[in-house]
Amino acid sequence: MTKNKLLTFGILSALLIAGCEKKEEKELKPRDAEPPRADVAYLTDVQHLVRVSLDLRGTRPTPGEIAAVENAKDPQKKIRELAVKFMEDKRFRERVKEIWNEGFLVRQDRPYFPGPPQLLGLLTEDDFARAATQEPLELIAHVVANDRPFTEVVTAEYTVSNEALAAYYDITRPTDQGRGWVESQYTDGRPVGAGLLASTSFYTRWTTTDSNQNRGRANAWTRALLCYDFFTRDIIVDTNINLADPNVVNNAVRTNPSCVGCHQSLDPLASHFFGYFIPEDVGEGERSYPIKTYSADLEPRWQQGTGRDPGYFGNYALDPNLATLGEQIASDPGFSTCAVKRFTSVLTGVSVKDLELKHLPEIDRLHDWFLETDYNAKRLVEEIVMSNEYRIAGPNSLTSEADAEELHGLKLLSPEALNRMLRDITGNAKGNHPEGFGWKMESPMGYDLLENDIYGFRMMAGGYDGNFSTAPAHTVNATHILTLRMAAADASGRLVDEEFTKSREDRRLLSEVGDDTTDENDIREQLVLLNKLLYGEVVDVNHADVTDAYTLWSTVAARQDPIYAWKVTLGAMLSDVRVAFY
Amino acid sequence: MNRRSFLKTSAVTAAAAGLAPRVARAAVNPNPPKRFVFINLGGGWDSTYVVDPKPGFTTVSQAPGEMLDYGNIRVWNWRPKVLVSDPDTFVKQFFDAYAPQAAIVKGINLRSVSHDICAQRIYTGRQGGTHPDMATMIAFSKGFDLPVPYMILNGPAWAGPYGAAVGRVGETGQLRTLIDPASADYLSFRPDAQDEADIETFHRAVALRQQATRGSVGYNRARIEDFLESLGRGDRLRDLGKNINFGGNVTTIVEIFRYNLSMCVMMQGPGGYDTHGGNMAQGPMQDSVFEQMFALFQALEAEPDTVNGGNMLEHTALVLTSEMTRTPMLNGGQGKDHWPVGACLVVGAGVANRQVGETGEGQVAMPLNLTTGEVTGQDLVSMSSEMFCAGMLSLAGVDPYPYFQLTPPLAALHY
Repeated sequence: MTKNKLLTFGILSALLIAGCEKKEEKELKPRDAEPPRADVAYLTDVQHLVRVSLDLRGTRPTPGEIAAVENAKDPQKKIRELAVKFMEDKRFRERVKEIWNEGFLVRQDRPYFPGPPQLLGLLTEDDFARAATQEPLELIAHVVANDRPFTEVVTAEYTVSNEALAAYYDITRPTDQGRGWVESQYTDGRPVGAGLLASTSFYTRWTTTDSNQNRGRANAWTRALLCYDFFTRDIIVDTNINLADPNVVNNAVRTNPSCVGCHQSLDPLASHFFGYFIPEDVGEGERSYPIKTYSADLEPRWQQGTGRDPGYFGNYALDPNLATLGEQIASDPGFSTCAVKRFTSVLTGVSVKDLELKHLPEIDRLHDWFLETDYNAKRLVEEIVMSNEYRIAGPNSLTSEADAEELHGLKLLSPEALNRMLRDITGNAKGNHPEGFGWKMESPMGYDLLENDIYGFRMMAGGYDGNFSTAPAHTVNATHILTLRMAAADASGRLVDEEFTKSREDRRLLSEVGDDTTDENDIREQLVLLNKLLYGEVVDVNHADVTDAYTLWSTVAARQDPIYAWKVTLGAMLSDVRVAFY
Repeated sequence: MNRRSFLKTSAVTAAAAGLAPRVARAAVNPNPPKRFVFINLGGGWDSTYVVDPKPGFTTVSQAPGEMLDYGNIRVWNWRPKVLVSDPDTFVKQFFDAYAPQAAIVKGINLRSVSHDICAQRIYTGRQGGTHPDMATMIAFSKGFDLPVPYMILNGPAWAGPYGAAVGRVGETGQLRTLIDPASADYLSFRPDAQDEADIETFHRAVALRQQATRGSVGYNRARIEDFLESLGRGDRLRDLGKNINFGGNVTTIVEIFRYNLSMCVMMQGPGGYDTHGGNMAQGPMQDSVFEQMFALFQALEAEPDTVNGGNMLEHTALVLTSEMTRTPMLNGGQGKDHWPVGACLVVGAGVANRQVGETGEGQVAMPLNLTTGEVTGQDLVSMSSEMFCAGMLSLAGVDPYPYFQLTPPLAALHY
């Protein structure tokens, strides 16, 4: 090829590539959603921003963010930009973990094994519990936060670990990447390329027995990753089977019609997990860290266990292992659809079951978009939070009574979000407590009381522990109200003391008043600002919400003093119905 | 959701179905218990150890022991005395004292061997975890005006849409802190009682305004009503709860009832019952549960009931159950696996003293007459979890129809 021809070829190639990229860019648009319904009330732009911020960061928008939306020519476009920005916030990782824990239920308050001896005294029980139970969730958060294709959660050639997890098990963790969760490698011979299927935490949470033969684990995986639960099928037991004879049972699960329906799919999945051997305990005297939990030599035990070749719903790999299982799951549309449902369900407050029954076109649209973006979870989340379904505020005058029951326009603030919100509001980068105030126990426990059930208030405030309670609440009760009030009062007490030591421009919330201000107009102006900052509501000084808050403030101030009155008033505003639901 | 909304919805449902006038509803218990204690045995109990013995059956591995015949019911004593000086098991002590007030339910078809799904079915009647459990339904219907109609000391619970009626004590008694924030040294600011009253006035005003705008009907309205109701419940919880220690299970239950805090209480029985290996652990574990039950009944018997007269036990029923039972035969590891047939002991006030249903060879559930509990004669049906839970409502004097519509209740639990 001559130089000229080469040049021409190069130019043409460049143009072609540019053209392709341009075309690709142009094509990367989600299908249009259904238009807004006339019989539904939608959130205002600022309320929409508040919901997006709480859902993606677990905290409320800043005054600057609210102003940006208010002043934008196209507020929805601005909200979309902010949603993208919120997903770069480190708190978004926590939200991703919370969303997926609803499927995995691996998060536990106590570690399965005691903390590694070399770290005792350095880390808290909370650190050990988070390290030892949340490995799969951290891996998902890692994949999502780094814009990797979501399929990587089951195909990653790494796990993620922090210092504590690396001390628990046979994990090589790079030491040059700082603290926290980083890509790491198991070195005990478990298959590489299986992502979270090769984690340990899932198998300590979902243990098995000699008779169960990993079947419960297989079902826990399909429930978490495919939104499919074998146990939802009814069981009619054939009483002619002699359950005392393992050979008879093994034969029955292969041949008996009442057994085969589930077992022909379940058992081949279970056969993948025989490499795991989770010791029941590591006794004081024989404690041995890193703890051994996997051996490739044990993988063939399925032959004596389920007796079925490892497989995936009728598909059999040539040399099956956890990595081939990961590939099979990754290429299954059931996996990507489940991911779409999981994100959509938590973000819209509609259950997975209801999404399947009543919202299939929207799920289909979002799924198409998920595939088109190469399984980019952030772009999926962006599309969800900008959808009409997400912006539902409630019924309007045109809504039928039956439809009103289906419109979930009020979402319950989770205890984790409450915790982050209060920390954010009481934190001040210009103050002495940039991280904000919270209820974190001293070492050696270190538990955060709004995110723990041993000593704390998580379940009492609508959360779940994954054992006795396996899903978050959707409404309040007496203990929730008391927790909300106590937390809000404490946070406001600390905030007000801090605020009045700062100049007005350096304050977080109380920038319109001094510690001795009693003028009604000034107080009302401050309350107008609080309405906007806390609830995203723009009201005037004579609005009933402002008047009620002023009545509270002035009543308390008459008994006590302005500072005390702000503590009570702010605490009340931080625990009212507009905070409990958003 | 409040009771007014619930009744309205129920009436609409019934009217829409056009069925209400044509369905002959079973009569509910005319003398229902005023309070319930639920004890959950997590993991799946081996019912042959106490309530459903199968000695002599070739298809059931029965632990050694002796049959205790109390006339209308028979139970298994897994550790008979060897020497005269040996103490009786708590199982025997309990039934010696309270067998005449007990009904044993056998043969509840759970149609699953999943812990989660069986637990949902036996407590809610249904699957999915979105329906309320029987304790919630009972408490919502009959104890609605109490501060926390259904209190969970520990153990599982499904509130469905009635979450506002349910509360938890917390694993280490954290409820004490919510009731008396002064006990929490980590708090920097605690509003005083007058402040709290002012805050509540503010909260009510805002909530009512929200109700008028975003919550006039439907789902939103129910959530705001929950908020409003919970404000009052929180106040009463603080008022009454300060008298309660929330220490041991038995004393806490008695105190909760003494101060009329709740109508239903749930506690988790000691032990883990998922004995895929070492099934013999079921004996001592179940005995320790009967030890607590015996102590509880004695304490309730000694406690005057200031609301209903007599003593507390005269107005209290206890429900002991587990999400499932265990396979009839031992497996190779001397354990037993999951079995999709439920069993339950109901004992106390208003309970019919009888055996309700039966399991046969291979511990298979036998069809029964829902009114008599007999497994012979006419009108025999296979007992579903819905029928069982509807029957529990009927025992509590709650019309099951709004919750279970056409499902016939297990009326044999009461006379």
